[in-house]
Amino acid sequence: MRNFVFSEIMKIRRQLMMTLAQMYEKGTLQEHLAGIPKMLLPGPHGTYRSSVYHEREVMKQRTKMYLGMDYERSRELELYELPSLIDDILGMKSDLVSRDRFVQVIKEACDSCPSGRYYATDLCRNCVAHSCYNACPKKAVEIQNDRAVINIDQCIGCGLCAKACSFYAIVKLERPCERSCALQAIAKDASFAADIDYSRCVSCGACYVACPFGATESPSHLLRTLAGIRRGEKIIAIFAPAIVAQFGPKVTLGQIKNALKKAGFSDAVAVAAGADEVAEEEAHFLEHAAGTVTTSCCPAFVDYIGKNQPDFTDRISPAPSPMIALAKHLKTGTGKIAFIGPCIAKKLEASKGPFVDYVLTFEELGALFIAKGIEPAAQEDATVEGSRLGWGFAAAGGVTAAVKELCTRDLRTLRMDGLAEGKETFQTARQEKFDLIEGMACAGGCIAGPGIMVNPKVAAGALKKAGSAT
Amino acid sequence: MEIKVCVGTTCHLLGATELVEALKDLPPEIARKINLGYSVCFESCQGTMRPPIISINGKYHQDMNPSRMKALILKTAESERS
Ligand code: SF4
Ligand code: FES
Repeated sequence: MRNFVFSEIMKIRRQLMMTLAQMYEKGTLQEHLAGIPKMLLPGPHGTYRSSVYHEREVMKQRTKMYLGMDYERSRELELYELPSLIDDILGMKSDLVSRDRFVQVIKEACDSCPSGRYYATDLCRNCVAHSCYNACPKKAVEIQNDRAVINIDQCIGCGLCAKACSFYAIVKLERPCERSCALQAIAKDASFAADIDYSRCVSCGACYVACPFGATESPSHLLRTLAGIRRGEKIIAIFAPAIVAQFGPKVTLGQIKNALKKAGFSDAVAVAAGADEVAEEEAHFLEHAAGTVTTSCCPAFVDYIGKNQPDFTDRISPAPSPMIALAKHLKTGTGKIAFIGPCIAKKLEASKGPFVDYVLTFEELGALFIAKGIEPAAQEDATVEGSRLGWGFAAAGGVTAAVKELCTRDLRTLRMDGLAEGKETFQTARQEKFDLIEGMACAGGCIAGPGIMVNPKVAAGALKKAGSAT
Repeated sequence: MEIKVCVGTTCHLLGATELVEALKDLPPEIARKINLGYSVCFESCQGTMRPPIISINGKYHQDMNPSRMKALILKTAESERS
């Protein structure tokens, strides 16, 4: 499970989300849109980068993505050109809207970090043994000015020099985004900026979390949701079980539910109720199932199977994801559904069917509350749907626990906790027989997803107390 | 020393959780002197001050992060001693 450290990147993102949502609510967005980068980054010196013009350019691109626009298709547009287009964009009528790509690299923000090379640092003591020099099979290590220097033209990246050095003086240069991606979906474009290979990407959001320049970004549904509320749409908010503790330890689930209703959603229902249903369905299915079944609640996991383990595609559970299961029940004629969770991949899942219209992350929900002037902590408590088992879906191992408890037969189960375990899990699954394979793209489960606001360890503790006894 | 950390939504989004965490690992002799409380929105985050905001002995401090907050607490503890 990943550690969670609050960073400047989160601050930049959230500040921008909040600003946009507040302006939209006040009705001043059109008027002030073009001035946002200058307002948040007043200069004359850079706040986060050395050049204030560079950081404003990045913020301009990020602003468009937070309006829901596709980065590639809107890259050349200036903010001052948007006011006349904004109604169409928020109403989803414009083809500038992102519909199938929810992880994109802002090339202006990408630092084109070095990667795939080894570098001798100044920890080198020019020792007598010259172990690095001797270990290199390609004679790529040279000694210059009393220290080791690696000739990048000859280096093949084997790393033997780094292993040989007694002082750990040689390091591997890696891009944080590449390292975070378990599926090698980050390539390089012609100018060496990170470039996502969508034939491999499953929208898990690992690079969105990993990039220290905040270059990976996700087109947002935030303003379009606010626009829907303003148009008077009846939108039911459904909130994922990972929401426990997201608004701090003092805010109860019932208060969040009431805060959502106050924010303009026609109702608010816990997705744990949908998870309960899925657990029942899977347990029922497994009573007599012959052969392995994999879980289907994590859309990035389902996508992973299709792209990397195609022989298991027909093994994916016939049950829908909890989000879809619940949305199907709640959806009425012109009514809309907004899913609130920690997840980026859910945006893609929602876009593939007719049931879920808006997907917000917890961060975006926070911005929505602020724009609406609503404090969850000040709301009355209420009872929320879902049993302890359904709420348990938010952490890795939760689906397995629920299905095992509901199935009368003894089940052999296997877990893929994070995409990095994928290869090994499916290798094991081919060798031995398992009834259920639980897959979570994010190690630790949804409580460690890309759109969270609190440390997953804190959420895991709070999760144990969520939901009614079964 | 009276410390109140704002846990309103704006401060929460901009890093108040980090402050709450950081308060847990103050040196024990300082921690003993602190009367810690949480507060809902101080109503100063919209316009006048930059969140996250805390108050120390009734005085508001803006744009806090763990290190700035610790420095402030140590300074206040120092002045209370003399
Ligand atoms: S980590 Fe960020 S800045 Fe560095 S190459 Fe990857 S996307 Fe670009
Ligand atoms: S949320 Fe902290 S002062 Fe308003």
